[in-house]
Amino acid sequence: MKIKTIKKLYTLHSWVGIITGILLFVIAFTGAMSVFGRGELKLWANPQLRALPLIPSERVEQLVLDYSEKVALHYKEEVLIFLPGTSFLNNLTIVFEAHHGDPTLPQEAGKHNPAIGVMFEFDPISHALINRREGTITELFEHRETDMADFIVDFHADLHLGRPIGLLTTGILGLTMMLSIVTGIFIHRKIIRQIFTFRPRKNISLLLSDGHKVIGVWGLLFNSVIAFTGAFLGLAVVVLLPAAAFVSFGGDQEKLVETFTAMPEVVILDVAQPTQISKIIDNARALESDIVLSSLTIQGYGDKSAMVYAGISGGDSMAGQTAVYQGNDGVLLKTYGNFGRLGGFSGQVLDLMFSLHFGNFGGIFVKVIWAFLGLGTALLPLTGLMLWMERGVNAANPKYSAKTYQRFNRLIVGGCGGIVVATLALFPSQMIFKYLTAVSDVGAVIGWVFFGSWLATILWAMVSPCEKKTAKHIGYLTAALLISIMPTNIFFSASHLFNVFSNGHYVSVGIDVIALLSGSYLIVKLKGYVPKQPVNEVATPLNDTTEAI
Amino acid sequence: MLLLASILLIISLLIVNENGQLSPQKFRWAAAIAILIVSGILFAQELGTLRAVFVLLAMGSLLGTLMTLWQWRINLTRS
Repeated sequence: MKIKTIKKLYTLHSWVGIITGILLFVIAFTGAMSVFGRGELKLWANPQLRALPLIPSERVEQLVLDYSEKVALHYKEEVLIFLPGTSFLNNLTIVFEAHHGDPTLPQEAGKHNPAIGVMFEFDPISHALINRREGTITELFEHRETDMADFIVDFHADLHLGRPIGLLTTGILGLTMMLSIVTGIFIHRKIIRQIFTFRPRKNISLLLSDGHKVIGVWGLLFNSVIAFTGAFLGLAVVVLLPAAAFVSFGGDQEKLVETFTAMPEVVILDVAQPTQISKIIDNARALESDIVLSSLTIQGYGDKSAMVYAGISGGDSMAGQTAVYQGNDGVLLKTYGNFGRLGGFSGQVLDLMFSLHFGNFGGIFVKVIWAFLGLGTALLPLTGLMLWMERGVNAANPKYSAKTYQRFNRLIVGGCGGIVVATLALFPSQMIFKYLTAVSDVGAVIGWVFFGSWLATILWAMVSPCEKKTAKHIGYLTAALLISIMPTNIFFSASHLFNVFSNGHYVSVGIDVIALLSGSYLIVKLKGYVPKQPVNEVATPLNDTTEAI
Repeated sequence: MLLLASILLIISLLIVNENGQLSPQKFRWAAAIAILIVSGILFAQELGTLRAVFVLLAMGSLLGTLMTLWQWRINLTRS
């Protein structure tokens, strides 16, 4: 490739990194945390869900039977059951749904009233009724109790900017990440030879350059997968879905979604026969080892024609599956993935998207690998930005003034350091809001702490006299927050190392220990770090085009 | 099994690493690939084939990065 083309690609690589670098760090760092969002962090945030005993299947069947008698007939079109600690709902939840609203109310010609439902929430241990709500299905699920785990997962998905803007932003960031990867490959095309090269002691520029390349090259496949799946998950709903609907369904998005996801409505035979919920739950739980049953959807409850769809994960399949049962005799008919049921290779690939992005296909072992590699993904734009500034400041004819570089440096310190502080501040805030205030939906108010601490850190970095000292202080604050996680947990939930074998709270205590060790290690490292003035020496050239440019 | 597979993966990476450069020796490459295949089989036995492919690639990325970032420290201790 011509040197002129390489130069153009380098400029493109630099500018994409400069514009999206901080945001990419934010997304990647929260992504590394989100890997644990739907399991481990949920347990830490909700002590009542830790070491939860499996709800007996007979109890679920009895509850559905008892409460089905307390709702009007039209609500029995569909029954949804969410088991606690396995889905996004913390309590055992049973929803009776009427697809087309209240039949006694007038309907517009050719249109259905929105689906409505009655939601019953039960304590996950005593199974006592704790909440009953009625309304449209959207309202019922909008007002669910959320926590720090939901907050951080949602932030990673759409930056809490709402849809479509948030999803569009993260989707486009996935695309820019792919662009950076492709341009990076061409710029550093000889790097494979120096894949094991890391020279941290020579000078700061070489440390950053080698670090950027080592993380980039070793994590190339992972980053490509994350960028592609991230772009897909972000853009699927806001761009791909309308586009596909326009091409194949005359612009009718609802019809397209129904084709891919909806369960076919059963034809009610009006022959009363009990639905074998207990038998189906037992069967679904025993389908394979390590199977987690999260939900059941029952159509035609109490009728001979009833069909039951069980949402399962784990086992041999990497992606989530649906097991379909005949309701009246509890016989398993088939299992399929969301898209896999449509057949073909592309359906199987689409099913893998979510699992590959969040690393939730092989237990805690895979999650840990994904989290570490995710942190590497976060370090990639950070080292790139620092390298760009280091080279800019030390250039014979700097492109921008020293003041401009300093301001940008402060923004990086505040923006990137701030997101780490804000994320860790969620831990004590979660427990304080949950136990010391009357707030039931912690996820709805915890944003004030998150965005407040992030903004405060950015402002602190922007106005402080020395940004390098600020970076060190942010490091200390991060370490203090990490160390505070264990005492917070002990104070509010009484889970600690000395009673972990009796109460079985291994996950939450594990998080405490890892946070304590990370915080202590960070303090030790920070004590040995002395903020230096910008290095004026130029990096030793490598046999690489980048350095030549 | 997972631990053994991970150790084999590290060994295969160590074999192709020759003083901070990718080794040009074909014998080293053949040995590293053979060990990598055994490691992949062990992962597949524990996790299933499709999962094992992704885990092997991810573990390789992680261990390769950590090994490279820590190598200078090991070299420092040696010298």
